[in-house]
Amino acid sequence: MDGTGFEDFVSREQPALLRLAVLLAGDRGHAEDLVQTALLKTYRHWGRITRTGEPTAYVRRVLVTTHTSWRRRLSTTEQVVETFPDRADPAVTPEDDEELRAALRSLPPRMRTAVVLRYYADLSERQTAQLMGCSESTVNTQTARGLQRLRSLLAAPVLATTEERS
Amino acid sequence: MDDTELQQRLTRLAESSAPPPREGLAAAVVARHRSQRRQTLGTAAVAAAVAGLVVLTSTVLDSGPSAETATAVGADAAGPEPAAAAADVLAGPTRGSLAGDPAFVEAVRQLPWTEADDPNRPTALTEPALDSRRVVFAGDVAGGRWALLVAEDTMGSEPTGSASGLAAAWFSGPVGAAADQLQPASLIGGVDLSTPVALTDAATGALVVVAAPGDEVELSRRPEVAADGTVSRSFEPVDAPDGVAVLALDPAAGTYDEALRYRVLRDGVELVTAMPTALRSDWTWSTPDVPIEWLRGAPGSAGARSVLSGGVDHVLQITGVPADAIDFAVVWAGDVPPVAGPAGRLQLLAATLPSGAVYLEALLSQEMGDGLTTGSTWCGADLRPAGTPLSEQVFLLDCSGSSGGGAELGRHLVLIGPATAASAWLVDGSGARATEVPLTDGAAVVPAPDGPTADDVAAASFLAPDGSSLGRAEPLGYDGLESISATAGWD
Repeated sequence: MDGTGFEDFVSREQPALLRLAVLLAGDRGHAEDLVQTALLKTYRHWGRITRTGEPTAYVRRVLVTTHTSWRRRLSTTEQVVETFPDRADPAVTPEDDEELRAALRSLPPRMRTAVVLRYYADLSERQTAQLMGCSESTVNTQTARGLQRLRSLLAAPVLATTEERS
Repeated sequence: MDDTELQQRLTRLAESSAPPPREGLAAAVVARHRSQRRQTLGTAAVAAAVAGLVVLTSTVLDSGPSAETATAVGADAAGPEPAAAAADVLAGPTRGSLAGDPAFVEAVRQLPWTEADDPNRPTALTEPALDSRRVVFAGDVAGGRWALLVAEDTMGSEPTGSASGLAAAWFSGPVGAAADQLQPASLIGGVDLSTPVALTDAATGALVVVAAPGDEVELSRRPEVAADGTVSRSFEPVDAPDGVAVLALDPAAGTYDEALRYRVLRDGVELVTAMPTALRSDWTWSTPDVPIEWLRGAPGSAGARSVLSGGVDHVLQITGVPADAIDFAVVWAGDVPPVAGPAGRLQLLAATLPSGAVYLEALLSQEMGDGLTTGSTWCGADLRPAGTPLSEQVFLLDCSGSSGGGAELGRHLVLIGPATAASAWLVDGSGARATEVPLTDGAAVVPAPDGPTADDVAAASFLAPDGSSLGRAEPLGYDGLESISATAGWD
């Protein structure tokens, strides 16, 4: 096992993974858990991953699939409550865009994931579909609906909607 | 807001709200990985000893992930690196009760992977080539009809860590469904052919485990929590002709079944222990309206009641114990002063399990500005032994939360003692008494800005009016949750 390589990889990628995770998860504690879980799953296959390709793409995909898996387990039909295992300080700093954060969190998980991957990670529809394990048309639909909802939420006082099942 | 502005705002939000990188994260991940493997390998060694086999545990422990001969499939499995011989568990002729219907099997083989009537079902990026598809399983299950296929991996082009280049797909449909009524239910890219796969439906209790012919399948329905609060599991063998177990269990106690584990043994050696991939075919289900005893405090707003209902559901999911076998109580409920927005609500939910041990979840919630949505989080989860009445126990909660939309609770300490407790001393890390907190009805909520910082508080000592001790509590962590759910198979 190449432990040194894994340490370098974590040191290099951790900040970017945390930034992506906090947009997907919506809070710091859950983002930290998400990144640690994704790295754990990556480490289990570290030898093969480093032999077959660049591990950055792998861990990012694991992070996305782990996130949607968690959300699926947490969500219930017609749910009006979001419950996050928030174990770390979620303190909001003054420069936080609280309006955008609330609007993002109001999107269903797959819709939120599509928007974040397309507009934050700057991935193409095809790349986003590969990460989410769905078709490009699904990404297109989810992104369009997500943008529409975000724009309506951000244009007026925030009316966070109920969490939909995924 | 145009696309560029959205990109810029997302980037700023990510940069401003991401937690700081954690020193030593890589070492922590490696340590956790080794800890999980030791736990599972320890069990495998016991099984091997019973079978008169020899397992070179130390050799396996010293090897790393690159030495794995069989690995977990999907996001819900965590297996050891076994000494059993590798085998392609998805090979061979179609198995299952419909395997003898060649027309049905062929129609299943031609099902689309990229289309589904229900937009919430998973779909593949592109159709796998028809000549790459094999129907591994086709059969009737409790409340439905399922099929498992394997084909070229068209989930995506990213590296999957699998040398197989194959994906697996579960399809599900109603009882007696024609082949073209089956829809994708679960897609697994980069499938490891040496690792068994399993699917369960929380609504019907259907479970299918697909292993290699000759493999033994065992089942653990739920963790067993003893009266002293210790957690264990027992596995019972189930019929698995041709390596396939098709079972009709009781429907899940909660929305999903996170208590269930299956184990596959080959030649007497544990190959994998995992939680099956879960689906729910019936969304008319809702959390049971269980009776709840309110020891102190009263039900709050509709949002707070929804949060409590979610807590009850989570207890049912992770314990797997039916609702009518658990006594639910709220030890204390009260308001938490806000930094901004409406007051928060803290509810300490207690679930007395059949053994008498008590699982606790501290639920913190706050209405968002729209009056429609409630944000919530946990302040800890604990598992305590049977014996002391809940009304006589002491608790220290370290709570913080922000619901967004301008609503924020900041950070608070919540102290809950017996109703007769008059005060509590917060004890710092050196063991010295730092601050005395007066209690009302045995409890207090201390906003962090006006009191000691939570990091400085190691415990709280609760005192009666005459100064005698009523007990000492350390901040509630998450050990209780982890001991119930962090059995092999949870990650």
